[in-house]
Formats: sequence, C-alpha cells, structure tokens
Amino acid sequence: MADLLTHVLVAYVLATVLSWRYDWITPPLVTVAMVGAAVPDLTRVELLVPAGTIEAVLGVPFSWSPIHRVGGTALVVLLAGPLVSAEHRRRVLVLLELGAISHYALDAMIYTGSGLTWPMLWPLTDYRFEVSGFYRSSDRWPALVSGLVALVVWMASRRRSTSERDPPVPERR
Amino acid sequence: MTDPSGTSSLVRRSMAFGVLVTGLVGLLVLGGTDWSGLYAVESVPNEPGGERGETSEGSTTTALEQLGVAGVSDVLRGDPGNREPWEVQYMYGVSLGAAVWVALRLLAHWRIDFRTLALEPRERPLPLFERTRESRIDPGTEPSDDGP
Repeated sequence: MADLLTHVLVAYVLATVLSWRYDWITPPLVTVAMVGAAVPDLTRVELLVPAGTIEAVLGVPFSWSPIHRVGGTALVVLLAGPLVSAEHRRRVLVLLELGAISHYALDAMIYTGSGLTWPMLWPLTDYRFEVSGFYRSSDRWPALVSGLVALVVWMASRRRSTSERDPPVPERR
Repeated sequence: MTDPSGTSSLVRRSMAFGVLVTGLVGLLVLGGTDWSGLYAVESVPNEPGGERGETSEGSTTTALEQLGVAGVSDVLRGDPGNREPWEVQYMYGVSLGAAVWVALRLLAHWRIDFRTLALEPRERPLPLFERTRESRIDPGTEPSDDGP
C-alpha cells in the first residue's frame, strides 16, 4: 500500500475537483473523503492493539486484516451512517466510498513480486487481479507527485472560491 | 432514513450501529481463522525491491503469518531485507503526519450535536482550517472580532 499521505492527498484532490462540479461537496465533505481514504489503513490499529492480544483476551481468532478488504472496509464505512444526522448521511457515505475506492485503486497499482494484487474482494472471493504495478510503497515520489497536484488544486480552489462563490464579506461573524 | 431526529431515530441509529459493529467483529474473527484466503496475497512476497520472482513465494511471510500478523505486506511490516530502515521510517513518518492532518481537519470541520448525538458539519470551520474565501480579508479591512 502506498503511504497514508499519498492516499489522503489523492482523496483530497479527487473530492476537491469534484466539488467544482458539484456544489454540495463542501470542505467538510472533502475531509470525509480523506477519512474514507484512510479507512483501509485502520489495520494499523495492529500497532496499538495487536491481534494477538485480542486473541489472548477473548480466546477467539482475530485479525485486523479484513479492514483492508472490501468486506471490512464497507462495514467500517457504513458505521459512519448512524453516526451522522440523516440530513448528511447519504453524502457522507458517498464521499467515504469515494475515498476508500481511491485507496484500493492506488494500492492496486503497487508493484508486487507476484504480479497479483492482494485478495481485495475478500470475503466475497479471494481472487487476485493481475496487475503489473509501477511503484513501491516505500517510494517517495508518489507522495511528492500527489502533493504537488494537491497544491495546484488547492490554489485553483482558492482562486475559484475567492473569485466566484461569494463576494467579499464585509463583516466576519 | 429521513426520519426526523428524535428518540426513535436515536434508537434506530443505535441498533444499526450495533448490528454493523457486530458484523465487523464477526468479520475480524473470521479473518483470524484465515477463512478463504484472506492472506493469499500476504503469502506472496509483496512490495519487493527486486525483480518479479526474485524472491521465492511465501518464504518471508509464512513465519509472519504464523505470528498472526495483520497483513504481512503491510507498510509497517515492510518486507524484511527489501527496504532500508530509513525507508520504513519515512513511511511511518509521513503516514503518521497524514493521520494527524486528517484528524485535525475532521475536528475543524465536524462537531458533535449533543441534542441528536450525531455528527454535524460545522457552519464555520475552526480558524486554522477556514476556507480561503471566508478568511479572506480585503485590503484595508481589518478583520472584525471573531466573536465568541
């Protein structure tokens, strides 16, 4: 998997560019897309709470890895549904999905020794796609490139919002 | 889903949350049993530094799998022997930075509505994360008091 920074930057770029087309994608929803991009990497909870510890305490087999598969990611994303008000629920879920899908797309392009992706569709199937990736997760350039693109998008967004969306507000609340 | 916020809505949301958490825990337990090839990819040397097929399949990962490692190919596990220590540190570092960034943005853009016990977008983000247009100051115009 790519580093989390790259994932988050890509989600930022995607959501921000989409917000130019869809007015309802507000900055809080751009943030939601960024959260969505981080969801599959919640497997990192392993560092804080190792699965082995949970197994020892609960006495059942346990693994955090399903969170990095569509089944687990989908459930974590859906968990946001009951957490937000009905008014925002659908949009939040859409943006979370967008972020999560971008995560999978990015990870699928990682160079692997086997030329196969991880079984991302688990538990539906353990099928692995044949992909000849073109970057390693420890490469620095993906974060650099996505960072530069994000910077350009941020500046473009700034221009748009200052020039188009609303006139200068004389009084700040 | 468009039920107005109220007790019944809260009960339904709590139930939905409970069902989803139960499902997720079930899936994580299922994962612990390595049901139906959860680790298939991890038994392959992922993230290699070398050419395809350079490392033999499963060699580095089987032992890790036995340790119950969540995702042997994971960034933080690295692939022993394939990454320089500083590369791993780099990944830790930027990933942690990204996590903090997202957490701060989330805090700045969302709040808990204690009336409905639901997350709501803030009408105005916290100061550091204000949109440019909101924080834009016209030349010669001093920002007025930000208020309470």
